[in-house]
Amino acid sequence: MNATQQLPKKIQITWFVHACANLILSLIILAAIYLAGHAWHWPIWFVYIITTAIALGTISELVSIPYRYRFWQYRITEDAVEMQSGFIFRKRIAIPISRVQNVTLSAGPLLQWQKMQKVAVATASSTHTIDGLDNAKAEKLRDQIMALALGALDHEI
Amino acid sequence: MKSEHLHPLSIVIFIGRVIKQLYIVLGLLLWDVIAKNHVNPWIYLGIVLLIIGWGIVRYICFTFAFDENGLTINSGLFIRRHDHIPFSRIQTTQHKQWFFLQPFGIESLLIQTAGHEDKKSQTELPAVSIKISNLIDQLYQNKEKTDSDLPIANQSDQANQIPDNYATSTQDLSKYALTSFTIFPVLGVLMTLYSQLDQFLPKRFLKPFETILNHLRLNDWLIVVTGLLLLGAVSSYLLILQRYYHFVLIKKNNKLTTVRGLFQRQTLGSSLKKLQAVIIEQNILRQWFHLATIKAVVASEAGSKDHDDDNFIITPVISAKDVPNHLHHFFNWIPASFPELDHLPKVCDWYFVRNAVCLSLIPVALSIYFWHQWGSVSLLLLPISISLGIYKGRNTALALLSDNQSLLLQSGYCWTKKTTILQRKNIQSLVCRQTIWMTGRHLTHLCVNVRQGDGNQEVQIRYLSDAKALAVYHWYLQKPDSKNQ
Repeated sequence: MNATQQLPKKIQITWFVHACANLILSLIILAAIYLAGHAWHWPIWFVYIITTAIALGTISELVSIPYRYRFWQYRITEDAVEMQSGFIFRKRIAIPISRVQNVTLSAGPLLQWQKMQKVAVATASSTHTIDGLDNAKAEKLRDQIMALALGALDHEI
Repeated sequence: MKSEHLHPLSIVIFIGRVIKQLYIVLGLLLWDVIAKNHVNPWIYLGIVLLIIGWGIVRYICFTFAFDENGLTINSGLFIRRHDHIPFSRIQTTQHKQWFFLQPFGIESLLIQTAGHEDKKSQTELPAVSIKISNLIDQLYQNKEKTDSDLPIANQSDQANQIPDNYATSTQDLSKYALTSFTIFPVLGVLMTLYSQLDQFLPKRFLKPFETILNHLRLNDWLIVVTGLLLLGAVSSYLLILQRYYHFVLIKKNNKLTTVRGLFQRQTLGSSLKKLQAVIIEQNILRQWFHLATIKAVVASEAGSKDHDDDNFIITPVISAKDVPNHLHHFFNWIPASFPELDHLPKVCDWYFVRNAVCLSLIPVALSIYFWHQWGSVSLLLLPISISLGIYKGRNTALALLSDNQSLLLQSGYCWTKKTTILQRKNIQSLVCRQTIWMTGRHLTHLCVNVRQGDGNQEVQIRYLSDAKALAVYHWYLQKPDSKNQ
């Protein structure tokens, strides 16, 4: 139980689809801006800047997928939940089980399609999310955290 | 449980609130009167009656009841609302009494819980007799006491029966008011008031002023500006003085209470074990005069950031060297002397300066691009941001307190030094952040999440060495072995 674990491999598929959806959305916005610029005679460099930004954004999002997967880790011990993510911007979070107020499972259409769920661990002040876990695993994790939280000293704020 | 109405005088308060809600409509009406637009007087009468009637209806619909376990409030005409607050869930209680209600023995009682659903975590009894509000407070305290199950704690309660008081003298308050930066917001309010004048007053009232202003010479302008500054300074001084007039801090039965205010007497109380953290604040002026302000962080609306006025200030001003002793007196878990703080090495100042300068370059570049020579005035931002960066770097520090259960974090922000002291049990979660460029230099940002008001307050110690950040991380995750302390 104490071992460090990774997100399921297929989360990369949802990230990929998500990046593509983002690209399509920004292309639509770009087209709208282009038409608006055409109508009101905005300078053309404005459109170029936005195009480059979109291209750079999409490329970096796509390229970062394997890194994101590789560096996203979590661990549940007897008295804490720990998460670690990021390669360029690294983040390491510790939440003692006794501070956990509730655990929320949620899934958007992409995660539902891949039979995964997002796990949000909330304390009295902050909420920390695990991006996606297999349905069964997510539920097990929730039960595990809640069981440990119930067992822990009654913690009031 | 028998439901009661509020004191009949609360009708006046309800009417006042209705007027406050309708101030735009009423302002327009008033403008109409000034501008001498004749409107049928019956309309005015109707509006006045409507407001009074509304106030009375709100009074009739508002009832409350309480027993030893909790308080229930029923309100609303069309949408009936029943709020039930168990006493054990109360975070803070607040009594407010305007000077004109003193002869009647009435005050308003606000009760705040830690809920953070749609801002409804605060319940109010707008006007009750002091006897009832004190009774409710007493019941809540009894509940708190029976909840602490340790018999030993009860004995120490006996010892605590003698209240510990701390009063702030007027002289100290004067020092506090003179070293405050409130003058800037006050000036802002004066400016906005002036800019709003021409919207509400008709032209013929303002005309003479404008002609005078237009014929002023440089000398006269200087006089006007100095006058404004003086007015701002005096009014901010008086504002602070009346706000903290006769400030008293009381510790009794493991409960901390503050009493303050001249025109409106405010009593704010919270159980000691429900305080999330203690913050010591010093702006640069107060640092020079060795003065400090102490605040408590609570998990209710009384401590939320957007109500700066209502912050749970437990000591407005105290000599900086007395702070540890003073805190130890009121909080048993804070040691009477602070350990040596662990400051960042001087090299780290560079990072703060670099960040501040990079941020200030954006407005500088923009203003030079748009206003050419005049824009270069904005270059003054550069020395300001450099000094801000150095200030931040010099004041960032942390230390573990001697009981090994609490942490002291210090940071600098806008020439204000902020020291947060908190127990491990009140740290909700801990985050270490690092960019890939920081790994080579073995630096980490340490972020501590605390519940404040109805949300999260992140205390950040930037550019801490890896080893120290990791030490705190492991300290935070260690098993709570010494629970019986």
